[in-house]
Amino acid sequence: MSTSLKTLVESEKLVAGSPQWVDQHKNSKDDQMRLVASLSVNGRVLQGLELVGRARLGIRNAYASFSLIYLPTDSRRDAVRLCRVDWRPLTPHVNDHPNTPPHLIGDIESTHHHSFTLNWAEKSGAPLKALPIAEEITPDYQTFKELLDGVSKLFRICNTAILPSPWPKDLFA
Amino acid sequence: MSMAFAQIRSDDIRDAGVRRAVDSLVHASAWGNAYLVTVPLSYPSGTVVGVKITPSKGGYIVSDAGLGWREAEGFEAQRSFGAHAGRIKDRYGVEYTSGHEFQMLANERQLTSAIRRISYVSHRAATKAFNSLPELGEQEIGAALFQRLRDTFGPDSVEGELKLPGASNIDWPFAAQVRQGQRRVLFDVVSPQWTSVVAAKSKFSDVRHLGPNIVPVAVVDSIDAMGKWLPLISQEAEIIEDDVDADELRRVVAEAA
Repeated sequence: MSTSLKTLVESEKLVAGSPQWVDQHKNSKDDQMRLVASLSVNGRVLQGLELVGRARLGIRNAYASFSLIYLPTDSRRDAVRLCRVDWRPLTPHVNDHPNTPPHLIGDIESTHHHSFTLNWAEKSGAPLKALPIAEEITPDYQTFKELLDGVSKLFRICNTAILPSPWPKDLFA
Repeated sequence: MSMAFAQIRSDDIRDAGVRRAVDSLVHASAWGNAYLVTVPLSYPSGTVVGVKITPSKGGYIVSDAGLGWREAEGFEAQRSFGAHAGRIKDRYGVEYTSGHEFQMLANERQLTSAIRRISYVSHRAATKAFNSLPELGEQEIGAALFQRLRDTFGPDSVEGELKLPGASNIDWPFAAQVRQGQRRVLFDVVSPQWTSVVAAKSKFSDVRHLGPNIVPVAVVDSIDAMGKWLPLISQEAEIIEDDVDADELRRVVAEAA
């Protein structure tokens, strides 16, 4: 299992199909958007491996995140969160988990990466459940396109550029 | 009225390290006509808890801005978050909106208390949802064990992920069960951590009180790694490692008593 999780993260992947951002709660005033993309490796769309994006319509060019998640076929097992990028979050991130390398202890007040490697727990053969350890991304991504490029490099997904923006085109920009 | 020590502003803290730490505990940012204020609490992923304060009709709307929900989404525990939020909102007198935000109204006098309460309930619901996630290692071992038991005893004799009420009528989860006539051998995975061991000890003891035909077996990743917890578990159940071969599994079931 541990080898295959590492393999999933390290393999060169492609977004399959044409994923779209979906308003999660259409009947409420809420503006939370979610995108789910299946991923393929060597031409095969892998079972359970997903890129999940989250954003809010009302918070433009910030507070977006992308996660790599593995959902085992066995419904008795929980989703495995592999890694996540938080772009311009609303509040800072605090690295205070006991596994945090000393040089990363402290607050991160900007874009950061909860990497698979930093959160890997040898004992359980899986990443820590909430991916509590992160490292700052510098320089920060200035646009959504730069965020997609970053996700492409960090998650090894070659064609993130095909993903649409969660926000309608800004005619005044 | 005064406090034991006179309060000082952070600017008056002489030690630079303490001053920086105090300043970093609470941040405020403008968010349109509202404000986002961080508080000295962090969710399980390390995201700092914050509240949105929107001046409205002579008072304030204080909300967690959906940060707790977003946190639960991060570990795919939205359903659990919603269930805990439903219980917590009534206990603490706050609203939980259809957009998954905790919020309450406050006047100026109540504002500090509202900030504390909203940040607390948001943090509590997210932490409860996080704590309800099973330990991955135990899930992996349980799933693999279930498959091997099926291969060894046949699918008709083996049941996976079941709940059984003990003598106390509490429902206890088990990873797998093998039925042999009247006898039921119950397998559950135990890891060398306080919560896992104490839960296993309770459930094994409780189901043992159902009678001699109910036999619990503890499955561990490594007997050596169980360390000081081993005698506690062995008081209630035989202990096997998860990779024992089929012959050993047959022996365990045959001799379970």
